[in-house]
Amino acid sequence: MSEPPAISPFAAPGQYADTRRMLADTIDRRADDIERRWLERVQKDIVATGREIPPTELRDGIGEYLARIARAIRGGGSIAGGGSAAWSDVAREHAVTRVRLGFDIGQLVHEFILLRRILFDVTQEESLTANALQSEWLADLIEAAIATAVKSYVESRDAADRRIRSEHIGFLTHELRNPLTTATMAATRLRRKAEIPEAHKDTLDMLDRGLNRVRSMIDGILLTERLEAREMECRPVDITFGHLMAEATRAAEFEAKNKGIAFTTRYDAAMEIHVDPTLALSALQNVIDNAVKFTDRGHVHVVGDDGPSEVLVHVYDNCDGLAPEALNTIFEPFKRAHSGKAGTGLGLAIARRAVEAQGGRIGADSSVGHGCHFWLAFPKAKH
Amino acid sequence: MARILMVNDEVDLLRLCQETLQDSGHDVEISTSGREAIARAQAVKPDMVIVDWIIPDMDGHSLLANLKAIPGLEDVPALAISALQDGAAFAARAGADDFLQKPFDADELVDAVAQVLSRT
Repeated sequence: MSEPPAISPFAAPGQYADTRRMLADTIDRRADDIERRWLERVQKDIVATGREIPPTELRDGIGEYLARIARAIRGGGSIAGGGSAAWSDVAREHAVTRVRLGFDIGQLVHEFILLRRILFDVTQEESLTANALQSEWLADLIEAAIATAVKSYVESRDAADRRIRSEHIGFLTHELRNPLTTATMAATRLRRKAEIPEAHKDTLDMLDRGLNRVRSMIDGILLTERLEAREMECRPVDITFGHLMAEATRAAEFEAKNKGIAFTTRYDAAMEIHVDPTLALSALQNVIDNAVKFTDRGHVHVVGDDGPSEVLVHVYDNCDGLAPEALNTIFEPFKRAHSGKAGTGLGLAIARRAVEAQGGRIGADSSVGHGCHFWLAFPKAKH
Repeated sequence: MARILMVNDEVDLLRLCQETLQDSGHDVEISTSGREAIARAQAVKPDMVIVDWIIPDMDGHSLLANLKAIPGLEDVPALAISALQDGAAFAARAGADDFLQKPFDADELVDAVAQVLSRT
């Protein structure tokens, strides 16, 4: 939602000056009364829904809001136009309290409608509402307030949701890591016992692989969460491409040898790129490891191309290929295009976030039956 | 080889770590709570402590402060272990000499202990 439009029902300075002054004076003079009546009505509506909220929490900002309505009317300006920054502060504060109190948008809007009714009642009691224009001014001001309050409410609610989710993930991963440590320690203790028969060493390898998978799953979930929350600090430095690639291909090269598929690379190791090493490594590892994982026969080939402003990394594999519709979603979390292989469905999502966090790009194309081509673009170092 | 006091509320993990470090020639005392650890430390005066950052009766920060308040243990080297993602930052602020992120395996534990002992 964008900023509410500036509302200027006051055609020209001086015009309706008396009416304006009278209305503003009335609101100022009867502000305490308006606030009290409004509070009663809100209390009644909220008690009706079975909630109990202290009046101090409910009152929050309303007195200040009334003072600003009066000022806007007296000055011939508007709340949204004249001093919108100041009014936004009140609205934001109010919205934060409402999110904390568990109000939904309907209740938030209802509060303002109640306020409008009470303002009309009061002006009627003062015999001020014969004027249709006045009613419109008040209605416009209230609507501007609703627009600002809803916008602030949505922002504040989203931030609160994210915080809760983030805490939840933090707690869950913490709880998972504790028993995982015991299991990992137990596995290494077993391996250290000299009398393990050869046949059981395979079983131990399987245990290790399973534990490592859980470990990287937890790390992946935490990394994704941080990237989503934009908490991940991106600290780009100039590093040589060869240094990064040696690390990024180590596990894949080993795994390719294990599986009996070819693994080749071609790049100028001396090229320099400007990236956050942890994020870039995580992106490259995820894409390259994936290529090896899904290629059962044939070849994985990694190329580093020196472009004018970017270094483009191409990863070619001989997997079964991906359907065009799968290509659109493979970078989304938990979207796994291949079945039958172990994985979290987080690898490519992490890769994309890690690349984009530092101003790079990532993409893929494929021909079914032949293989996939993934590419990652990293900014070059500026000299 | 060193006399090490390790504090952790998970008994299985504590036993596995104890066996592992004993294989490396260390003498390992174990405690499952902060209060018990302080009492053990007063009795055995360890050369090094390994503390989990979250134990039921105390947080790592106050446990470390309490241990270092024992006469003779003012400069005792400390390795903090935690499953918390920000554990390293907490541990550094509390004055631990090193931090080991959970999960770890036997080799990582032995290396981390050797590093702390060699530096101090």
